[in-house]
Amino acid sequence: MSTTATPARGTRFGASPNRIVATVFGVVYLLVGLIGFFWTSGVPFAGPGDGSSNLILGVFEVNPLHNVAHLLIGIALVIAGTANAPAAKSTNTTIGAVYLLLGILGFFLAANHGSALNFLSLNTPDHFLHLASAVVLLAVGLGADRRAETRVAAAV
Amino acid sequence: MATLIRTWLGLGALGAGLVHVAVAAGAPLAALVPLAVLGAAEVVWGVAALAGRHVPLPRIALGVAAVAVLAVVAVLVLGAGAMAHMPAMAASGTLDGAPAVPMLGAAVLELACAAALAVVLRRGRRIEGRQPGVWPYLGGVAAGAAVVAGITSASLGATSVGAIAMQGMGH
Repeated sequence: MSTTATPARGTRFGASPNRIVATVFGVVYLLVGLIGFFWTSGVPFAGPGDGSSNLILGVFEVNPLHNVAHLLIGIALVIAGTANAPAAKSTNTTIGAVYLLLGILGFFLAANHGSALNFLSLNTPDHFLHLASAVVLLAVGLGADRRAETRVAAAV
Repeated sequence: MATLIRTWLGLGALGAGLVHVAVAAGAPLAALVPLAVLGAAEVVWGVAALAGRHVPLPRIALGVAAVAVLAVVAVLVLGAGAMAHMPAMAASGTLDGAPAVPMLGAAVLELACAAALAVVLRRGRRIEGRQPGVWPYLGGVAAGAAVVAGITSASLGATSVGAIAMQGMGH
């Protein structure tokens, strides 16, 4: 018996948790990436800011490179979410894993906020948000859209 | 419901693992190794629970979670007596060298996982039954993620690494 974890490509949007989550998170990250530029005038493109003026809503620290990263992640999620379920599942899992790693490393990096290693200008609320995003993306990416797997396993 | 229980188990284990890894980062060497190993094991088990079709090693996981919770409770109870005679330890708010709040946060997540694992064991190893609908599933994942992220974030913020990070925000 062989099984595959690949969900059906034709899974419609409303029936695929991965497509819904990828699209919603993608739109949110696109918006965050866009509005972030309102808080980064005079901030270096990469590297830690002063942590006072470059805070989205006074909470989440960003720099222009961080905004670009949000835009790219948002674009990837929206494209995958609107394309098909396998793409959304893969993208959610990959970005979730990257965010989980970033969230973990971030807590060790945060001890040296002014370090050159902090090239995305991350602060603690950023790490918390990245962890929350990682949890949702990984949970849905790893666990949802298995209907094709079940069908293949049953048919063989 | 079975799928959601497995998802919540995975999320809880991920949260507890992250807290233990963060606590290990600021712990003395004697506590660093067991906490780091426990945290890494919880993260791996959590990912396996999320990705798999059934809960991996449920009896072993239940045993580990129970022992970890009992260890925190034991240190807390025994430490309470010691703290009465050691004002410095009470002031530092530590559990045998590890910060109390994050360890309690991780213990809460482990306790919830242990309870869910007990349910899984009663219902049989394979809990992958009928798939829930898309929106109930997403609602369950969002609720679980919110609870786990809340406890994990508060716990991480109370670790020594998190405290340094909070100070870093002030400038």
